Amino acid sequence: MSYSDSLDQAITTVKQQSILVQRSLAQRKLMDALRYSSIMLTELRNPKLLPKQYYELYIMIYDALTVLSNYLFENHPKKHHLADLYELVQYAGNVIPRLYLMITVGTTYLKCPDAPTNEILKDMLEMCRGVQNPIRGLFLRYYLSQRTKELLPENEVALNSQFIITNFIEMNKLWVRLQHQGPLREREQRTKERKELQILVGSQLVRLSQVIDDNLTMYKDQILPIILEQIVQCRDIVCQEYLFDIICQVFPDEFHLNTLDTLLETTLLLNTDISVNKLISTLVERLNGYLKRIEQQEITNQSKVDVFDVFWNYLNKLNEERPDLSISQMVSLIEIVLNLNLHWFPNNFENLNKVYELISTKCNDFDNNIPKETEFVFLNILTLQNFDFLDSNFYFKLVIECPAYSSLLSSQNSNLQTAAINKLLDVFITADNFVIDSKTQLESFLKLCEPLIKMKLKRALANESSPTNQSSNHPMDPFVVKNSTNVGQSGVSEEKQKISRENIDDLLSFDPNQEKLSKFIHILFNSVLKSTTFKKLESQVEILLIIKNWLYKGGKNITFTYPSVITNFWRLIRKASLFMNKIPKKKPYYENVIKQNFKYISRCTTEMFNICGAQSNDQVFKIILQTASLADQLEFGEIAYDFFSQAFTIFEECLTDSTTQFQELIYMAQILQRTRSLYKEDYYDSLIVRSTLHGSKLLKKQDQCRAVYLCSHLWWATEISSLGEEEGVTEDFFRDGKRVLECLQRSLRSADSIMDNVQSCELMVEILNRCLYYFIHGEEYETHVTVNYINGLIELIKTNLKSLKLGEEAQLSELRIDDNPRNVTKNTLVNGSDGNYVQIGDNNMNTTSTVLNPQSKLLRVSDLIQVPIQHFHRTCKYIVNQRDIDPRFETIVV
Amino acid sequence: MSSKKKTILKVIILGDSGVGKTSLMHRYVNDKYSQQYKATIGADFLTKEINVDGDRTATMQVWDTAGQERFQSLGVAFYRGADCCVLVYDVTNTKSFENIKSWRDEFLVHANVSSPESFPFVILGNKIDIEETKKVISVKSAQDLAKSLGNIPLFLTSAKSSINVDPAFEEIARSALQQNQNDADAFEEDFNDAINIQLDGEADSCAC
Repeated sequence: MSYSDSLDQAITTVKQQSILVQRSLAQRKLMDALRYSSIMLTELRNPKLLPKQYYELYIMIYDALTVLSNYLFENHPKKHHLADLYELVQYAGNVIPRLYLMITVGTTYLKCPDAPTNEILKDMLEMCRGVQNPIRGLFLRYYLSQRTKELLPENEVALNSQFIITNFIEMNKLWVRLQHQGPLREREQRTKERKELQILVGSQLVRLSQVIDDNLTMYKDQILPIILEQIVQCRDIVCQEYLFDIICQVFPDEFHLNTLDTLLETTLLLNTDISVNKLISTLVERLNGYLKRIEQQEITNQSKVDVFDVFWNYLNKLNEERPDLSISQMVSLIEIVLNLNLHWFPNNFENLNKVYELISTKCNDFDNNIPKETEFVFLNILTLQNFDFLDSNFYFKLVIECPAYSSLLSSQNSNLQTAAINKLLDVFITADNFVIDSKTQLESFLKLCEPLIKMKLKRALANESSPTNQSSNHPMDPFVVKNSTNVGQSGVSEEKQKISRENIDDLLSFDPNQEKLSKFIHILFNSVLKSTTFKKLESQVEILLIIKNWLYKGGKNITFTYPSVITNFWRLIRKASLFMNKIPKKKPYYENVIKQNFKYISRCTTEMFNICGAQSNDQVFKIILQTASLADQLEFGEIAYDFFSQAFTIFEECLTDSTTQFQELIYMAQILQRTRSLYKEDYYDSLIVRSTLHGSKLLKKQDQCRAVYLCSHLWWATEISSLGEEEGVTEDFFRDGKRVLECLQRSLRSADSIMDNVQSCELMVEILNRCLYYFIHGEEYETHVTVNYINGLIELIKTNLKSLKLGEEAQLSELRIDDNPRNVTKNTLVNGSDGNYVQIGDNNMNTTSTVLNPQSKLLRVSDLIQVPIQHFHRTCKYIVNQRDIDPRFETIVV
Repeated sequence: MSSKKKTILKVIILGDSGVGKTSLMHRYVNDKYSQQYKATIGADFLTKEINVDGDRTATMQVWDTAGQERFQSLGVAFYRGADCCVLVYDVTNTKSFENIKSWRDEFLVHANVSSPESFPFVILGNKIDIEETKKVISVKSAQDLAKSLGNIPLFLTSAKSSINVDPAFEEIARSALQQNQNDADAFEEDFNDAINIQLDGEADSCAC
């Protein structure tokens, strides 16, 4: 008898023979049925079949033999005796068909009550030794196992498990032997086949698990030691990895919890090429799964073995016994134990600290030489980002209760540190529900942030290396004579403009790390304020100073981080002022606290100014002015004056770009106009005179003009309702109409002296608008802005506009052709207060507008002329409309 | 000839890991339940003698399978010849419910059944004993799915508390038997034509 050449043919044969078997049985021709069975089984002798193909045939044959078995059982002992048949099938010519038939008959016999069970089982097991070819032997023994599954004697656990173990040991040997068959070059093919066949060996452990059920003692004392002995002795990697996995999978959780030592011990005895990590990870996954299962099943009386302790001892032993393990392997292993602890004892930070300590020690053993490809493991260990069940509270404790964590973090390279800290800060920023109770805790957090604080920013380095920037980089030191000049020599100013534009770009491109750090500083300080330990204002101030001193280590970075400290000083000052008003007898105390805090702010801004250089001038200037405003609001006039003076110093010594100068001056005027505490000792007077003077000395005439007319408001205080002031009720507003008029006159002179007609006209219209403001807000005798003055100005504007139009017509006739298409899409232009033109969309509903640079090529003279003309028309229209409300407007001639 | 022969009904249970396939099988076959969790590797079956429609007896082969693919290293040849396929999900596990369709498709791809559109499936939503708040799959969405897959019978079961397991398997047995009958008839017709050619040649050549 021989087997088919192809799988398809073999399948056909098996199908046909199985039908023939069924027919023979239907006709009660048992001998024929056995013969057809034998032909069918011959297909299983084919040495060319791959494991999966063999399995396919096996499944079909199994079904056919089931039919045979049923027949044999139903007709025993009426038509035949199974004992006889058991002898009979031994005469089959080939060993494979013989043994399959023998097992079929033998197991059918087992169903009969009078069968000599033990003898049959023993004999079948013995006979299977006749097949030593791995694949055929494995399937034959699998057949034995499947057939006997439901027939092993009841209540004979020891005997049954012995039967299965014996079969398992033999199968394992066959399976391991397969690796060494055939030529060496087919090694990989063998390994692949073995991995496919593994299920047959593994199924024996499933059977064992079913047989011993929940008998832990038996498992622990008899079964597990034997299985592990087999695994250890075979020295085979595929076998060891697979069977260890299967042990974890098929035996119940309680067994593992009680045999952890043994299991872990075993991994130390295995082939050293094996991936210990894989084994341990399987075991840990299983144990973690156990927690989930007991939660789902609501079992409360579970045994919580101190699994961490067992694994911890194991780690230390492994560390001693396996110096060959690389840092990556070792750290990954520790990570697995970390994973275990986080699931089992999420609140045990002592364990965590131990783990991080061990990692640090390991890093030191390897001189902190961490391979690039292992970095992600470290990142996982440091951020624990894979454990989504950990909340911010956990991370909070991690930072303050695990010193080893922080020291491990600080020994990493800067990229890794930054990445890890960022992840951590993200957690804290999104959920700020923690409270900091001690300075030690605070220091832990600041230490955590140290790498971010001290981080060298690329930009900062670039600035240092750029020599062109040094002139604007000089510190705020009164003895350094400034060498920059305001004179508009084209070359110099162009270069300066370029530099300052770069600086602006720098400032706009935030460093995300510093931004996050600043956010975190707020969260951190808030969590200090929540604590009862730091209830006293003094202690809060002290904490803020500690934070400031840490940030100071960041050098130029303080330009990003100091504002978060300064704003908190503002906050403390306001708080102190509230207390001061509430508790009059402690007024001197709080007054002192407030003054101290203003000094600290001053320290901060001085440090920013000295360290950060030109790029932070604008920021320092604004912070100083805001602080001045705060001091004024709390009626600390002298302090406010002091801060204003500081602002002037920066303005005079360091702001060189004319656009910036103009803007900063306007900013200063806005703040000054709303101050109320500077009137004594003429502080206010001297400050506003000084700013107006600066305004009149700006580089560009249009800036001069605008700055001065805006400064005119400094002599015309308006109500601040939150202070209880009210127009018409409050008597003592700081107002000086004469000076207002002087300012307007001064700016009109500037406007008039501008050579560019369009500009000049536009500015005059703007001044006209100012005049109308004062006309509305005061009587003529107060403001000194009279009807005559306004009418005169309108006359002047009209005359100027007329000559402007003449010029335009002349120009238009020259450029008619060129201009034509533009008339179709004519947009309205207006002039912004910074001198830029703003193009307003055609459609009034559509508010999109574009800012155009004065040098823009999109601007044409013909369009520009429209700017003052339209502006003047709007103003006149306003005057006419105003007549309905205010009859004084009748006298204005438009 | 088949009047005497005892029919073997092959039933395959499929579903994600941990939905309770093994437990359902044990509950049905042995009326036992164990809290212990053991992963199933490979595939194996238990048999149960059953009475269908009062008079007929059959042997039901209930195949329990591994939900994890890595435990099916020899492939799924055992799908072949199945008479019914049981798709199980866990009412507290959305993923297991969403995978029902892919388990069905996977079965049809590998089982090589003669007419896929009429092949009997049964869906079981297991673990309904678990408290209401933990359930994530509504009866409605389960019914919708069963309907969309071709009016598949749906049972909500608990292997742990023995709820609805027997009725479910009665339905499974009925559809399996029906399928078995259809297949057997078709196979007979097929086979009668093809068989005689080889039979004559081989009948005497056998030596065993």
